[in-house]
Amino acid sequence: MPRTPEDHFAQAAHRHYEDAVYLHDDGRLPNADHHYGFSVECALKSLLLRHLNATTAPYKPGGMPVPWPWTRDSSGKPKKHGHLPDLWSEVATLARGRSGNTLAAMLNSSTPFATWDVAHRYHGGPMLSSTTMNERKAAATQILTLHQQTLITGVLQ
Amino acid sequence: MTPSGGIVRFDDARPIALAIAREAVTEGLDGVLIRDVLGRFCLALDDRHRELPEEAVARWRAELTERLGLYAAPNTILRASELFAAEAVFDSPRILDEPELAGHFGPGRIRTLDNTVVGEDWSHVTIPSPLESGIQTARVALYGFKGGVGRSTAAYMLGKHLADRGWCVLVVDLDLESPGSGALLLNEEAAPQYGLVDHLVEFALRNAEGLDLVERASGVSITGNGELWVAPARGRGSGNAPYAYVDKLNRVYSDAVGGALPSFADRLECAVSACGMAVAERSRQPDVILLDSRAGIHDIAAIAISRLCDLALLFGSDNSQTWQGYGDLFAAWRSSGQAEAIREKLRMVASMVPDKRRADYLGTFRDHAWTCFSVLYDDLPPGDMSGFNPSPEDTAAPHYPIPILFSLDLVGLDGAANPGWSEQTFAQAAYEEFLDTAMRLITEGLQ
Repeated sequence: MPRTPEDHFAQAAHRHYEDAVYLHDDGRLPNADHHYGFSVECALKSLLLRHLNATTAPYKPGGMPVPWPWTRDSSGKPKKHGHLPDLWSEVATLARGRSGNTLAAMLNSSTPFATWDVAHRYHGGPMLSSTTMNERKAAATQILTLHQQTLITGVLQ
Repeated sequence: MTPSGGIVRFDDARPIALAIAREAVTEGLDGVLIRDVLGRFCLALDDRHRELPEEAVARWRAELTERLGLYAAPNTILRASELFAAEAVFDSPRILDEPELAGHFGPGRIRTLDNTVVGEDWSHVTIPSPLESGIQTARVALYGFKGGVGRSTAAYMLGKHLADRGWCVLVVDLDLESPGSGALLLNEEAAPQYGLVDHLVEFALRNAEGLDLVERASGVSITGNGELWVAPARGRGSGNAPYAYVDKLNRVYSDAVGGALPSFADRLECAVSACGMAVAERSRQPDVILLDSRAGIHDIAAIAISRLCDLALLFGSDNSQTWQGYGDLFAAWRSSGQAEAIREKLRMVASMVPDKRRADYLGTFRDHAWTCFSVLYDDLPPGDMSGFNPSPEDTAAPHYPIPILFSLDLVGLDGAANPGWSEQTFAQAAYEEFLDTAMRLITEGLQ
């Protein structure tokens, strides 16, 4: 069983990915897309918590832990890390130093999730081309592979 | 095998992990023993084509967790079938064979994957591939475990000596943190616009074409038709904007394995090749490239010695820091299975030999060097001539020192303020044997 928020995000990343592939293979594209987006989001949140100084601790002492990772911005204010596509560029900004370059290089190229929107889960069925789906699947695969390597090597790739 | 006091430290963990991995080899399993950046171990087993002996696996998991203490990875046994991308682990090009897990322990094959933050290039020894033109270029690294052993001055002397005998020589200053040979061979105003550091930064953005990287050595008169070129670490800048050396240096080591950016080692190799090509474009292809490597156990030294050169001249003086330093380095080569590949590239240079005690000093130096090098030589019973195990007296052996005599006149020498210093008697006497021997070693393959 996962014990920490980052372990929960790590497991959820894989669950979303597997469900996305299952739905994608069956041609059920809108929900497949929804899960690809969440698999990337969960993997990035796991990395944020493990390697990029994010936390789910309470914003103020004595408060409640929050269900999302957050960091402090340059003025010291808490910055919540939410959904794609913003999360993609937020993590790209935080990845620096000798490690983290593979992730930074990956995230600094244009995101195939630019038009992905968490609100699409309420839509009747967004139009998704097979090219878009394949690009999103490829990006999710790449990020989950990097996430796996980071867990094994102990260093952000 | 219980470490003293029951606390497992970094060095204790490896033998414990290897002992358990050997059991997996005996069971006929394939896999990878992985050490993470903190030094923690896990054993990844390949169950894609065969079932695992579950009882043994459960025992190994418990033993690894219990015996490694804090050096057990969070998950001590990984199964290929449960990984998101098993091939990223099992087919990693960074996997190495481990002599202590060799086939005689059983029918299985467990290899190792060591994840470090820096220094990975020490354990990947290769010979540089010939240039596209097919013309041979000898590549020689000059390295000192400790700084201040006359390495850059030797690069200058050797470069000039070779050029005076007709060879086209390029000296590349790889000492990015404390540039040396560039400044010794070039007046500041004669330096090219850009240095090696610029190539490393620009290449990351695919913007390195057309950089002015090399210049003929200034203030050095070459006799005959040889040439002496320099690729400094630092350029003089374009004049359009301030030359921000430190800002660039702080970015050059980024390594992005499998990402869009080639690794630092690849980029350094490209930068050296680009310097060679720049000389070829302006004159002719260099016959010899001298790589003035930086001191210490540093990534640049690792890449220069392990990958960029055919011959590495190891500078040192006879003291305990020198032998401890080289001893650590040689032990790392041995334990990563690189002894055979590296040893014949190496040659020791005794760089500060006191003239008056020359014979005694060199005798002691040679014995200390031989002891140090013996970890890279084959372990053979007396009389067995089948392997590589030269005697201390073998003058062609890697440990046998090439001497450079110590001269007070060379200490703190300002080459720019003393033109023609290298022709003076003190310099010629100090370097005579070094220059003759090094030139023979370098050029015998070029004839």
